[in-house]
Amino acid sequence: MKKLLLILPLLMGMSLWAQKKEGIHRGLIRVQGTVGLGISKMELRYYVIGELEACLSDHIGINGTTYTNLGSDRSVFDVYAIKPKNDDYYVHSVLTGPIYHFLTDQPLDVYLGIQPGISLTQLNYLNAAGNVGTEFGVAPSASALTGVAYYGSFFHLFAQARYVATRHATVRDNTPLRDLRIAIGLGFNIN
Amino acid sequence: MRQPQKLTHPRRLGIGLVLMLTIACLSLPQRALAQEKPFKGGQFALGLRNSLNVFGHGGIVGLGAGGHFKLSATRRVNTEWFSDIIQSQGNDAIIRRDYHIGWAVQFALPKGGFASHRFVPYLMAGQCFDLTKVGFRGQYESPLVFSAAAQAGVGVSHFITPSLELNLQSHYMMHLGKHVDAELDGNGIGHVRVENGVELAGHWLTTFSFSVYFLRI
Repeated sequence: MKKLLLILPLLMGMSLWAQKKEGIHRGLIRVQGTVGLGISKMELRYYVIGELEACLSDHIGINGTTYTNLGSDRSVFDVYAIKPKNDDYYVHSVLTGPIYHFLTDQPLDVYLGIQPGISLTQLNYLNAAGNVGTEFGVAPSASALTGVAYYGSFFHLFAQARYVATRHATVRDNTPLRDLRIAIGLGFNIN
Repeated sequence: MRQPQKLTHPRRLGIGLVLMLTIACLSLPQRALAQEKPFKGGQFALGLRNSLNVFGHGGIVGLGAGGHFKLSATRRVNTEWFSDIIQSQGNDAIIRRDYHIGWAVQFALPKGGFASHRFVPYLMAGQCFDLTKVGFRGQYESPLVFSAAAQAGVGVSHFITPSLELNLQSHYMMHLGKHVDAELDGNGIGHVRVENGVELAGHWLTTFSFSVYFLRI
């Protein structure tokens, strides 16, 4: 009886495994993390990206994404430097919204989404005393994204492009921080 | 010969609990996602939104983001309780930030109510309370000014799945209390004007939002 009780969850797991579907389907949860580039007129930004999505139906998922800005090509990782540079922007974003997946139950996934969110912006500036000051802002953000993915059993490869509109707007500075964020990476999925 | 050990009562209870939890965990995602019942009163949703804010004069345009919850009263009447941050600028010199909190009642035009058609148009009306801050680049920033507004508008609802609603709405916010206005004079000096009374020069708010219904009260 005891053995049977211990084996039962295993059998249930195996039966679910046998029923599992391929690619995007209702109930799928996918997690992905990678690094990405933000292309803007002003600079090229470097991001660490984390993403979580749960599929409510065969075509629709609710997705949440975070972008942590490490720096830009003008000031590579100067957040770790002893003396940060002035006139330097950082933009960290949290975006959430629905995603539409065009293909279902097959390895290939093509998707499209619109996601609102909030960005934490940072400006390093040179103050009157000649030192570098820091100013933070919280900015509403809007984004639209598209991407493709290829699903294996527990993992998927993906490529994604997302346009994000936001702005650092304070009395000191009023600068749009719009960029096109490109990411390629490996994600994991719970089917 | 060693006698097979019988499961004691507490141990059996423990194994039973583990089994029940396993079954519950395996079935939970499917149960949570299954919302196939028709739309009616008492449904609760959480959502996020983006807004495009256009002021009646001065050409000030802004982008907003925020969240809301929705609680339906009947299949034709839904309520939305929202909070937004809207950041606007007429040009590089004027910055405006509005913190909105408010509510609206949405009345579906088709008799079948929300989710009865692919796209359901609705009328909406409500109230909104604002905290507004205006800044002039390189000059100064005003303190937060409180004002109240009444709003009315139209919208379209689309249930993309039984539990996920997309909304596009446009409504006019007419300030009934204080109205905050920012202007630059001929010398480039910024002035903040706070007006009392009914001000028809409010603003249009066009909002795209999504809501996930996950609870039936």
